[in-house]
Amino acid sequence: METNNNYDFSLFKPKSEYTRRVRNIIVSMLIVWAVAVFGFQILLLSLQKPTPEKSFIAYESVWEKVKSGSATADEKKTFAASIAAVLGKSTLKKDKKEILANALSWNLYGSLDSSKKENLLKSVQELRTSTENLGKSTTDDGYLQAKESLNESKKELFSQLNDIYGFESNSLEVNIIAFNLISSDIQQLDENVATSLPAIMKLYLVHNQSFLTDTKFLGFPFHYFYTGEFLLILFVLLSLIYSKRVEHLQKKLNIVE
Amino acid sequence: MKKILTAFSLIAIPFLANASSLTQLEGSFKVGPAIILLAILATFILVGLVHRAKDTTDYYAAGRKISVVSSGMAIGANWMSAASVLGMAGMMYLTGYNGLAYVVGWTGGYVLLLVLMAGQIRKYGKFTAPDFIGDRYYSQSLRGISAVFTILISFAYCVGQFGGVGLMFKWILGINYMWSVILGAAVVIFYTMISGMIGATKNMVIQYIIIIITFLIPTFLLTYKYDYFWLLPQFGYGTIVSDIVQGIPAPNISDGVALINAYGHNLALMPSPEFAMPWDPATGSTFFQWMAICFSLMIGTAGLPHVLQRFYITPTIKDARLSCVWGLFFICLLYWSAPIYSAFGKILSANPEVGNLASDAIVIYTAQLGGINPLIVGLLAAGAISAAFSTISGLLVAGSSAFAHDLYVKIINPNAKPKSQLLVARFGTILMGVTVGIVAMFNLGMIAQLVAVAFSMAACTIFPLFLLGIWWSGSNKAGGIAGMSVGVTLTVISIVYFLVGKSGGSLPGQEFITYWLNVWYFAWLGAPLAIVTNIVVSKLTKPTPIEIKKFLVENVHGG
Repeated sequence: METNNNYDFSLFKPKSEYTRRVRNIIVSMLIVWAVAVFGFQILLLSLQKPTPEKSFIAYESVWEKVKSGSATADEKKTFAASIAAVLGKSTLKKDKKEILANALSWNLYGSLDSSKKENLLKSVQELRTSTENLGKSTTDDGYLQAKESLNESKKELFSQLNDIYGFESNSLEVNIIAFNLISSDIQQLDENVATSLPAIMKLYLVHNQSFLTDTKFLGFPFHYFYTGEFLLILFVLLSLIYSKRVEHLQKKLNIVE
Repeated sequence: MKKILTAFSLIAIPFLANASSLTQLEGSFKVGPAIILLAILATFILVGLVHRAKDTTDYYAAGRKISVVSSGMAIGANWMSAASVLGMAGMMYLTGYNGLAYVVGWTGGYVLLLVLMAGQIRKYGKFTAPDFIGDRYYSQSLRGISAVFTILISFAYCVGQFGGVGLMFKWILGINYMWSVILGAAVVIFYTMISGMIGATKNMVIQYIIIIITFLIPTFLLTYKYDYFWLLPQFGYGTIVSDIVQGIPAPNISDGVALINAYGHNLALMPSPEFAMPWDPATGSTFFQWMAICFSLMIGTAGLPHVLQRFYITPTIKDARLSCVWGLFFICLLYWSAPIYSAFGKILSANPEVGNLASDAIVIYTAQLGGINPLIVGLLAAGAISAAFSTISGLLVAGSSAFAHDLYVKIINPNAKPKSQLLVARFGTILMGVTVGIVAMFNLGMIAQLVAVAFSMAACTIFPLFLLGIWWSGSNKAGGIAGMSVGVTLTVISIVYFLVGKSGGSLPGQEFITYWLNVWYFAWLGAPLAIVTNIVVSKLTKPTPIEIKKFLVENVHGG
């Protein structure tokens, strides 16, 4: 007589040799899958240590002096370069960018005499106007003209900044500083800027790193290769192995689906 | 080969390429890309008409006449959407390693799908998810709820796709986002209405080939041009990732020539470890979020009705498994390649003059900033639109079918004539298309995130019913309803909190819910809770009828 219990079935309660073996294949696949995906991320988490960028160490070494107004020209340059390191990041949020731009401008303008400052502010304003004009241009001719004017403004401002800081010509730092300077004079370091700056610098310049992130494999940081490349290869392989093992099992046990 | 690539990258057909598009990322109407897009869409319709299905049976059986490789390509085309082609690179461009949770989640889910569902679904012998659920749980109400959720999942999935179409139409036509969405919605609804049921599988194979070729060509050109390992860009971009971490000083000289982007800026950037380091604080993401997104996307993949549907129509059960393997491989081809765009995008847009870019369009901007021929960029954009169109078309048909077949005919009006059923389906397609278009205009999130909502919904509602329905005969109607109720409740809570937050409001525990039950990944909790509830209630209530248990043991797990 058929009873309800005769047909009780679950993954963990197989009804035949075939389903028992299929269960074993599935469970082994799922274990490999879960450990490979989530186990590795847990390993990454357990090994990670907050690791500062060089710019953060440089920033920390000069910040107190810059804040108190006793920094040398070299220290001011180091400070500007470390701020530029954060301003150059595309993940930077708008509100934080404003704080950094404020600190950068204050650090620069405060070290200039009035005539240099006046020239610099004029060049910053011209660069800003040229950039806006470029964005507004709708025709090809207008675009080319605006582009020419922008190049002139850049050349002038870059030259002044290179004179002040001594960065290499066409360096990325000069580029970033030029496009982030505020076009009005800042004589005092805003209290909010002074308070917020250390946390912003730490947020953007300290990263979760370990030997798994620092080791290179085929050019990749190892953890990036593992997650972005290897796991996908593993998924395809696991799928193939599963299909072949089930097929092999069916042949062995004469199962016809 | 290098010469061919060089020549290919330098091909110029000036009368097709708008001059300003050579120097500006956005800009006015782009004739070349527009013509390419029209040609591709016309090809799809033409191929569809040639391989037109004569009736519903032929439509389903069409999948049974092709090889497993072709079937795999059809799975790939069915899967690849604006989220894969545009959204994923955008996520990685913006959030670095966090974006890899989407890459892993959207591929790893196929392993679950294969080992837990594909063959068994094929053996069960139903054609739609609500059909399976209604039959397995002997419940019209569960059939109805799952039909409603099939529609809602399709809806949520479509919102992200419409966003992608809007961005690409904006790029090609040079009009604002709102008008782009309106125009894109009109074109895609028209496309769906005329393509509807035509030669689906054959068409999908061609769609896959077009999408993947248009997506891969720029990756070869970019790696070649910027002196990275170009023979296999999917591995060659590893050095770019390391360069991003360490920074590239200006000027960047290779073989005595300075490497520059299309604007003439040096290919240089400040050290940016946040691009590659795990859950970097600078990206605003955490370890928990990485795990929750990855897990939710994986189980969501194994619960998406339009994905599950592909396995009902394979020729044999063995083919269902092999199609899944091939499908995953073809999907991975794209997923191995998408990060290349985000990495190049990072260095090509590093100069402050480039300004902020819409990350969802970074694939296109990267190709432009890399100085790729405008026609090839146009092909890339047209490929992205094709991916969105094929997915939207499939989702609109799936959603309207659930409305017309599973709700209208099976529940509301069982005596409905085929003509009125067709009318209801067409009405459903238009209604859904228009509504999705309206929601897409609000630009609620990034493409990948919007699509992730659909995955979490599927993971909380459909996945538990399929998983327990197939693998545990003890799961019964009461358990199914209880589990579904929990899944639905968590879905509603998460979406309500999200919408209130977006509109600037706040509910009790807003911050807590927004973090732990975020609309992009609430399934990390919702799915396990729905499964546990299903098990507990099933244990406490009347057992599953013997006929269903017998069918499961003998037909689904027979051997």
